[in-house]
Amino acid sequence: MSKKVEIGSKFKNICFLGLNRVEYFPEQSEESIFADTWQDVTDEHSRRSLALLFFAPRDLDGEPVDPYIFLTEGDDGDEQSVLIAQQAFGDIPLIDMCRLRSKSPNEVHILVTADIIFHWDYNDSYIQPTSAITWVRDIQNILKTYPRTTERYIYTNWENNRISEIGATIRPLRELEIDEEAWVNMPSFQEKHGFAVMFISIVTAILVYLAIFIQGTDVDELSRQIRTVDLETPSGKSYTELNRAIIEQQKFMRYRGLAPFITSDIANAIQRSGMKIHSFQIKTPDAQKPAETLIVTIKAQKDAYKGWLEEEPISKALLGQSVTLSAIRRPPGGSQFMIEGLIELEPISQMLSEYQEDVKRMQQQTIRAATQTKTVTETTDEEGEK
Amino acid sequence: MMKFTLGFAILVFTAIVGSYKYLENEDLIIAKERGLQEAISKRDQYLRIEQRTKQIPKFAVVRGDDKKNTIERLLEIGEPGLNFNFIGQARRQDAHLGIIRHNFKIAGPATFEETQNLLKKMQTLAALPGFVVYDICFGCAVTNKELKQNEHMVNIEGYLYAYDPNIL
Repeated sequence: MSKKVEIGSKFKNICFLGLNRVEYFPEQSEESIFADTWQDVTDEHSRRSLALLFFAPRDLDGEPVDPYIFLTEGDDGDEQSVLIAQQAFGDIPLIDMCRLRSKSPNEVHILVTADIIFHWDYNDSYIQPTSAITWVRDIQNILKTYPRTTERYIYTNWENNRISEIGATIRPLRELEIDEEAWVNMPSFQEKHGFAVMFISIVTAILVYLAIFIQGTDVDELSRQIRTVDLETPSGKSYTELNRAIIEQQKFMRYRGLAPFITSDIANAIQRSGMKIHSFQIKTPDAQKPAETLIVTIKAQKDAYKGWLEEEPISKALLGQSVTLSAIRRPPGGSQFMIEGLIELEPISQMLSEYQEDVKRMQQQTIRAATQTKTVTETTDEEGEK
Repeated sequence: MMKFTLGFAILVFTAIVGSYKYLENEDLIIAKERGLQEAISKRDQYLRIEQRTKQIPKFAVVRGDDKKNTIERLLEIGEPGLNFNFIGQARRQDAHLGIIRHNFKIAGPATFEETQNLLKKMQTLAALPGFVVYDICFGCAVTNKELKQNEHMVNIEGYLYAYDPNIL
């Protein structure tokens, strides 16, 4: 089912092509213009929104004729002239009124324009010449052929005092509704939206190009930043190996300051415990690894102690007198009395740090107290002199 | 009709090529960002190592000063008392590293007080940093020399770290 289009709302400029003259309805004008040809009343500007409505009689076989053949004046309708006509009309909408049919059997529509009366009903459409003087009588003659109950619609902008006698509904020409079938060169969807699609696609392509370009600049900027950072990165050394060597050295150096203190403590403990020693040794369990503990080995003089009863009190005294030994044991085997002690370096390091801080704090307090005493003494002396 | 077809073709082409290129660039940006993070991390790490390298002279003797005579003179030891000797070859972790580790041994007769002073010097002497002691022994060795009163045979072993200023 084809859609209906009201020509007044669809087209701004309307031109009806009659038998020998045309009637032109320009935009926003109630008055129509009559002329011999449609070219006489239109210019380039008005043709952009112009619709040509014409009345092309059907061929002998009853089929509609090619509108361009009909519109090619004075030619015999060869292909060349049809092509020329197509180019001449361009995109101007061409509406063949003879393709109109009434949708209801009990109604007749009459169009009066240019120099013709055109009417159509449920069966067919008909055209006949008329004039400004005779058109009302001509309509009356037409209506005589229809039953009285037939609904009658007349589309015209012509005026006549006797028009009301006809008993039909009078409508202005711009309210005439036509089927889309009558629009013989109606543009297809592609033709209608081709430009919009083209425009949108070009805009989209530009936007996509811009997005990719911006991304590209981001990539370039990141590459530049990477190059800059690479240039700022120190080079020329085996940094991983160097880092490993520094870490290893730091670990070895961590407790190196404790050696004099531990040696002194062990020596003091030996002296206070009264142990008769042959030798003592302080060493790390594994010289190849940074030490967390130290092993102290104390050997007693040969035959200085006989049996557990003499050795045990000495061992306890040794452990009690040392602040660095966390545990002792007697290694198995051997006839000579020997003690092995364990020194944990981390607690000793912490203890020494705290002790050094305490000493520093006490020294500062002593200095402060001495300074205050000196100030008080000087003030007293000055008052005494006064 | 031509406009529609051409426009539609451009739209399809733009959609395919554009989305492919867009996604490719997104991946590239992610990869570059990761690369940048890694480069920054590497730079910061190397700069930290460079900074730490500057601290090495505080904990290692300069190459050239790691000689027996120099060390004995600075530690104020030598015949007939304690002797300083290097043990074996110095360990160099990498030919281009510039950090060398010597094994040393100080042995000989000494009193406990002398030994304590020596240990303190080894830890505090600014001209001779880099000593790490891992073995101290009193009376472990025997000698045919006649020892003075309060003297014992002392044996101290450890590492001496040295650095090459031309490399570091």
